[in-house]
Amino acid sequence: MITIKIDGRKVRAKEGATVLQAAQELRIEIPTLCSYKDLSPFGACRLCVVEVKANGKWQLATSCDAPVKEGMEVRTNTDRVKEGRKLAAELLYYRYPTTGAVREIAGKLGVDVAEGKADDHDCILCGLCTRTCHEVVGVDALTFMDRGPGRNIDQPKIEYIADACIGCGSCAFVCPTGFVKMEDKGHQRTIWGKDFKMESCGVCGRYFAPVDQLTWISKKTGVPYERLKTCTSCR
Amino acid sequence: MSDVLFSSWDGRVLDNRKAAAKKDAGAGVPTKLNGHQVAALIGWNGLVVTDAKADIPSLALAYLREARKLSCGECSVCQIGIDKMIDMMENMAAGKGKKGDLAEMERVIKGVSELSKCNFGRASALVPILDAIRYFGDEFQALAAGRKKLQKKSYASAVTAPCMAACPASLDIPGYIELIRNNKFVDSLNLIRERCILPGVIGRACTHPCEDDCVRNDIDETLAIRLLKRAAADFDRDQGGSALGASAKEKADKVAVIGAGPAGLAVAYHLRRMGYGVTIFEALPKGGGMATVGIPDYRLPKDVINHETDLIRNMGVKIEYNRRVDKLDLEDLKRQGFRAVFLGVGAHKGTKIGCEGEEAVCADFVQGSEFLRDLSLGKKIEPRKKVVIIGGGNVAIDCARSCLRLGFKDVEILYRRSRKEMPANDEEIEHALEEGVKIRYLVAPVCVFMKEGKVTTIECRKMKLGEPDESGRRRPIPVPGSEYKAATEMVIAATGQVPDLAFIVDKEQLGVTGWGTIKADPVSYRTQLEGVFAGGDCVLGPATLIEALDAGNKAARSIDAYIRGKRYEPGISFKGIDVGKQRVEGYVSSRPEEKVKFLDPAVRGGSFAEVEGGYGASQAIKEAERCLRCYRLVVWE
Repeated sequence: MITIKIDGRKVRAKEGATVLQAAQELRIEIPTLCSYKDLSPFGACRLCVVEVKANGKWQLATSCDAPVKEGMEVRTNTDRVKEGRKLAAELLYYRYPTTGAVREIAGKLGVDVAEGKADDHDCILCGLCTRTCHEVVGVDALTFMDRGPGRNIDQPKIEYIADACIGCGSCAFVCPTGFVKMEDKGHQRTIWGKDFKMESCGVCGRYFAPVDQLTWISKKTGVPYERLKTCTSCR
Repeated sequence: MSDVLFSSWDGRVLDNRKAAAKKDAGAGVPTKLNGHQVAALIGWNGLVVTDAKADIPSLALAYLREARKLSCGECSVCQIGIDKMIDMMENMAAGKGKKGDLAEMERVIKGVSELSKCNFGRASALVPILDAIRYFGDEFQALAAGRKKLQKKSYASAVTAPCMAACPASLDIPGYIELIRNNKFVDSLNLIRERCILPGVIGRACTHPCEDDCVRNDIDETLAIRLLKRAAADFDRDQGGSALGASAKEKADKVAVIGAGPAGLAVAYHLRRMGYGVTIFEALPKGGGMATVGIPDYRLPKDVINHETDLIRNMGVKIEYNRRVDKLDLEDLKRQGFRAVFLGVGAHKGTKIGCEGEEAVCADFVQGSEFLRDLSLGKKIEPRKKVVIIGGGNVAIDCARSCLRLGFKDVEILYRRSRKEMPANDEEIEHALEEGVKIRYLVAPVCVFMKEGKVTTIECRKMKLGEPDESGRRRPIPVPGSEYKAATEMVIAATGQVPDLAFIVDKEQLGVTGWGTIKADPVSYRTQLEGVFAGGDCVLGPATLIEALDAGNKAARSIDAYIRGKRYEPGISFKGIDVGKQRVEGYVSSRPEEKVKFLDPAVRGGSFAEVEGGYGASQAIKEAERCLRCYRLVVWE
């Protein structure tokens, strides 16, 4: 355990924890759209900024990807922090003015949100789906489009690699805006525009997982497919 | 007198617009690029104006549009911030500007610099626009008020980064690292191949000057740029190995290349891609040049270079092995239909060390380059009890570590200066010491004694360090009366190599320097002879693999221009401009480099197995996440 100071309070934090986690332990609320407890930090939305004292100067830093350090000093509620979060939210709102999730958090952070359409589900490039697919599922069916000299892509987006997808739906689960749409119609699931055949539970008969996903788990773990054909409730 | 009207470069503001006596901008302010005067330039570190007629709002908008292409969108503030700036400026230009627009722009710029995830967003994307607004605010106001129109001009732009600028071949390092971060290893490899056709080789054996200039050094440790390149190459080879890009439409013209080393292979690859017929004449039975016969297997396994050479052959480059060109006959090459010739023969001939006994022909007293060549071509080398290696460069270290692996019991390096001056890579020296190589500093050989054709003894003299010489290193001075003798059964002289130019009949006509290297123009790679180009070690003297690749990359473009009768346009050089500096630093959490495994020193003897391990895909992605993406952009007219 190491000791850090958050908003003047001395607290003990686990080594390897992030400032965001340490603050959450203290029930300090920090806004974020791109962090999730089971995934590595990514620092996409910039809403979770705090002030960290470095070389004697207070500097803005995203708390989700800043590991705690012995003696670290953090401020989570100064005017500068509030201004920073507000600007980050303002820019998100500038690009996605009709996406509900963005409007909601922008409003909370003091952005003047105009009345109007609020039922869109734009992708805000938070990277939760790509990280889930890589880190938790392990199939890498989602990835960021890259940019750089000579690669003149107008609008970066998430690329979907249909061949790699097993239809597990984890990306839809973590998506903060509802951009990733998943529809289950009994024997068939549709996600990212691709149809997956569903397997029914050998005990209760309920459709519970895509065949591709069970095949993949079977291959990965060596457990025979037949044994995976029982849903979690009946197991 | 200064020709600079305004400069905010590096944050130092110089305003000569109303000054009676114009002040000088000083060194490091980019007023010229590739020798051409710029009228106005906006770049990551400021704004420079030399022509009063330059339209700054128009230049600023052009910069924003270029910046938009580089902004990755991985964090939301930088890219949306740029979009908002562009929208605001376009509104102003359309006469729809609002009061307070400039103050609003300033607020967004400051916020984006503070909030961005990478160094492009922090230090490049919008920072110089702030200077334009602050110091040329009247022009922006005039635009907003409809009193001024944006000039329609085309602006030039160029991109670099501290790592890219340090790389002799200017690889798009942040670009290929970004592709790895996004799990696109094959795309990453193809981007690397544009300027480095031997990625697996360079990913192992490069001296990686890029890592010395990595901005991350100031925070924790450099990015493992070399190992990431290796990861891209290894990933592809593990998947079966992708073919190189197809060639353009077949051209009738042919080019001859002498030497299948890194320079020759790079020239051949690029010309072939342009559609030329290319034939390489190679004296040795294998391709790769010094990468093959100069670097032992434990650092660079042969299958890596063989694979990469084969890929170049498979795209249609003819490589004639065992075809030593004894006499360069240009007339004959012309008759065979070759429009141009590239000389890339390397520097394979050892230099004299200047000690007695050197002239004798003896199997126990050899040149370092010859020793490594024999070893790599499979010649059997009997281990002796003791070997003394003379020299302090990588060749000396390679010889020493090879000897240990061959079963020599006592391996000693003599170097005439101290560790500090030693030109070999630090990591190589460390490995050698760890494996049991002894290094004696401040010692030089005087005489090698032989009996019945066998080396028996070496006589040495101690040295001390004097004043620095022209290389900047302190000169070794003999200590009188310090001579001593030591028994040894073998001596390897590894103090440097020169090109073997015996195949050039008329050296005067071609042009040869006092160092014994070929004279070639450093930009166009042309020699004095019409249609003959040269690059790599035979021009530079023994240099690095990546410098040879760079020569090959550029010479190919120059040869293409020559054959088509066009002027050769070299790329933009950032020489003289400090690309390391950035005005906004921001807070970066420290995160140490991902480490690879090394073969246990205890099991290295007797085996030429590769010592350094590589990254797996997941580890490579983790390491790639450390990249700060320090792209630097300049736009100018």
